Amino acid sequence: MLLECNCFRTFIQNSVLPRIIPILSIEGDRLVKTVKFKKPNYLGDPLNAIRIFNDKMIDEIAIVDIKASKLNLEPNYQIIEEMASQCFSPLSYGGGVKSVDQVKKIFDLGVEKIILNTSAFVTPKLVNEIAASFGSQSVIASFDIKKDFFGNPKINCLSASKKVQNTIPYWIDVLQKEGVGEILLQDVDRDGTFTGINTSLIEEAKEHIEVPIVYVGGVRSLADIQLALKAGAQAVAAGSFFAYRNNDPKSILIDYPKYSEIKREFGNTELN
Amino acid sequence: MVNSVILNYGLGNPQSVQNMLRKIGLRSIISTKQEDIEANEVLIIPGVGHFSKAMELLNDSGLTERVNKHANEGKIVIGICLGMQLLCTHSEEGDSKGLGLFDANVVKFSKLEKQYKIPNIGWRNTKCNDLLLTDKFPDDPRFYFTHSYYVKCNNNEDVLMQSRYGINYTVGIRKKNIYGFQFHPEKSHAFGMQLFSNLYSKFSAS
Repeated sequence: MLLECNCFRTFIQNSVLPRIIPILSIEGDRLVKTVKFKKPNYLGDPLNAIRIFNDKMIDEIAIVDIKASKLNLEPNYQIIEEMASQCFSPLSYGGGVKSVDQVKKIFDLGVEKIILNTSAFVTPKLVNEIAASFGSQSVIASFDIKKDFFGNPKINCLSASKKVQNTIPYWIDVLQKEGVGEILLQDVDRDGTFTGINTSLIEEAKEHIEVPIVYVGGVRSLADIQLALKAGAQAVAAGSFFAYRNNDPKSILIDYPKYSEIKREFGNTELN
Repeated sequence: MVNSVILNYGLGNPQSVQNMLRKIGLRSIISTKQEDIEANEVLIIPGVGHFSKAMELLNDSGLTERVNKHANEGKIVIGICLGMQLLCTHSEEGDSKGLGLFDANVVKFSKLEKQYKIPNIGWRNTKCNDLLLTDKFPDDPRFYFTHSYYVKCNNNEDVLMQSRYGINYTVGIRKKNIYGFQFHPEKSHAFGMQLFSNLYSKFSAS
């Protein structure tokens, strides 16, 4: 017989709250924020940002080194270690990861998930190797989607500087077979623009996706996050929304909604 | 003070566990050495990864015997996530035998309604039947989960905590000196810190 006690009185609920995930873009040891993956705006010290987000008890956090793959650099292990040691929430890292050895090194620093973009499409077997060693839950594939000249959504890699051959459903299928644990659907054209969610991207992709979907791109409010969930995402990530006050890129302010607000907004959301 | 050794057997996130213990003022070392295990009261088995691969690593390195010895001497063992599952009798993940310190089996989430995606990832509420462990908790207690397999206890009296993801299931087990948690207290902010604090207060009181 299980006792119910005061401090756990809100315990088991049928509703499952969504994960809301700040993404910290770094270049080396500088925290930046891009618009459409370009024009990095210097925000400050990433360690300071991690500390603030931790005090606000964020659900999860993602660190993405936006230059590592493009410049063929090793992940910056020192900054990853310093960030991980300050972080008491789940932490994922992406940027410049090409081998299981690198993944092991990063996990040993206190990170538990790896985000692959370029490597996932160049060497999909790496997804399988990571999943076999550390479990599927530890590997996320980032689908960086940009419209091409004809207005068709295409997957991009190398910080959205290069198109990936084949369709979105093709790659969803391939990477799920390799054992990917989550898919990050990122609308590059909306990055940093505060123009709202690309619901059709989620709706079309979700027909093919069995694993959790994390949507990124264009978030400007909790209502936007709600729209992404209704469209079929299980989690929503954002950069600018948590980095600027009143969605104004001239005013840097690290912030995150209070749990009471999240509960009020999403407590009754049906899962998709 | 009750000191801990965090088992670094090749899978899992010992560093995250140590980071949190340090944050709440508890001493620990990350090691697999016999003398380090003997010198510490609490043995923590973290874990992120594949069950049968983890068992292989434990068996091949002689750690299976060291963990069993520690447990049989009445000292404390804490398994976290995969670490908890490894303490069970058997897992469907790789159809593999576990350490058998808990009379429980590890099974895959199956036949959940479509909206419950696998793996179960996110922050969930739990309930707990030990008041000492739930003492002084901050508001809205919740823990971070990420798993595709869960533990089915054969003895109801070993169930310490439960949660819900499509079904009600066990997320905390205790059998005498052996504890297991399916979620990641080391990744659950102030809630994880409070749980560890409460556990260690309990250990030092006994």
